[in-house]
Amino acid sequence: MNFSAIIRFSHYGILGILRTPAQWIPMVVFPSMFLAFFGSQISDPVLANQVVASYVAFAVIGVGLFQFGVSVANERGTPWERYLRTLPMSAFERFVARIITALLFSLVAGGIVVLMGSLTTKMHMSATEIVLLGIVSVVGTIPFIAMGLAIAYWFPPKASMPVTNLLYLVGAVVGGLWIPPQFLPHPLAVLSPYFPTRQFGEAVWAAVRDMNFARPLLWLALFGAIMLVIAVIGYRRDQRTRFA
Amino acid sequence: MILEMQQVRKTYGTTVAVDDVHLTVKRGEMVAILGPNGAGKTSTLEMVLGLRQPTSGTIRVFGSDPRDRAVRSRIGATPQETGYPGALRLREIGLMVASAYRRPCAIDEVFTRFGLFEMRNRVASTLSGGELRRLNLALSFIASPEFVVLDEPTTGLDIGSRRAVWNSLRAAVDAGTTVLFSTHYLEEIDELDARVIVMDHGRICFDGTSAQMRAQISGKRISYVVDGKEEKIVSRDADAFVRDLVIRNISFENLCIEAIRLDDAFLALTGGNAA
Repeated sequence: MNFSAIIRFSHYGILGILRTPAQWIPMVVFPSMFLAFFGSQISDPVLANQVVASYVAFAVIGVGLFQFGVSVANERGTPWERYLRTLPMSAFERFVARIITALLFSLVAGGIVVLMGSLTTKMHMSATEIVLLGIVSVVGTIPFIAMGLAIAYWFPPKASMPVTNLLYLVGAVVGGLWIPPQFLPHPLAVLSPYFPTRQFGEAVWAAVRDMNFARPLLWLALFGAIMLVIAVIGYRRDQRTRFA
Repeated sequence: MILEMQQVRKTYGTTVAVDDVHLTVKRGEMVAILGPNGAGKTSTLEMVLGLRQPTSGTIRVFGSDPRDRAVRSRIGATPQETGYPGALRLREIGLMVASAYRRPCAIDEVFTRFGLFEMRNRVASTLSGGELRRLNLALSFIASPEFVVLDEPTTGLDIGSRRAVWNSLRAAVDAGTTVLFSTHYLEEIDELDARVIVMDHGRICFDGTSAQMRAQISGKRISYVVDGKEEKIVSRDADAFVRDLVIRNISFENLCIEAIRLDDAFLALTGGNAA
């Protein structure tokens, strides 16, 4: 492993995103903004905790889906990516750099949501709960990174943006991240438990209520594994056509 | 031996891009691949770089598979099209590429050598075509490669920028680097005194010096006008040809007899397909 290259590539990956507001504003600003709009009226601290945790999940899912679904889709066919393949560096090392970049943005986006929650809602989280929420969020991002990759390698670059947006928003609503599941209207409430976003929600809600989050995380691991298989098949197909 | 290709064939579906190519490049050589569009130049270079796999045949670079990391660390390549990360400055791009190598050169030194030092804090999208090409070249030389592979390093450049590229390539060969590049421009071969490989329809149809290439067709190029229509031919015996015109009482005008040019030889080799 060439660690100095991994560090360099993640460093400039982060810099590249920071210099492109269209990339970081939706990831970092929107979730905390939505929380500020919708969360401030909640008077029950338990419900406030749940809503803040929901928006943390919403934020990190966005980072996973957009950094992998949209960015990888747009970059995979570029001459620059082709050129990088001629360097003495493996695709895996470049992938690790991308993961580091995404997880860092996940932490920042999630952290800003928690900060916004503590300022504008009646949430009450202990330090342990915040740390647990952070860990569950980072772990829970991984299946959505796999889902992003599956989108990136199965959809043409131009389609990746609308497809990602659609799945992201539908997943967030049906999964109960925007409207708490107990308030979902009937058909959505029935569908909700089958959505990975709902399982991610269950995991983060459990983390801030001092409950067991192993079951939803296992569910997410299964979902992530399926997505990873789809992504790997798509990746191999893409590599065959491009570099055979 | 730097590069050894044996019986290399590359097909895309039913299209044959490269056919039965044998090519060896020795250390310190400057080799130009010349050919019309679709002749198989880019496919050949992509296989040398390990970006594509031959359908059959073998390619060895430094005696190994070109996909090996150890091989790649001794090669410098440039992208054919330019498409740099939009948000990064030149110096950052240079540091990023350099980080992939164990022993890269000092970025500022390489940038100075290619006339990029003054613009090191600019973003690639603000560079002109000639400046981008210099950046391409600088990146390929970022870790003192033993072998550089360049796909059309001068296409679309004005003569000043082209001369700058030529000077860099000459300096590289003088420093012991082996250079393999593709080109559309015949004059580059004379200018750089390179070994010429002419490709057409996926095959190598000539391998030698530019003098040898000219000698492929002996004679003179003759042009004249008959009934307002210009005739051009290449003749082995120009004197006999002109005597024949006179004897047959053809009323020609504007007779012109010239030495063979490199592009005549090239056209003869590729059956009329221009470079």
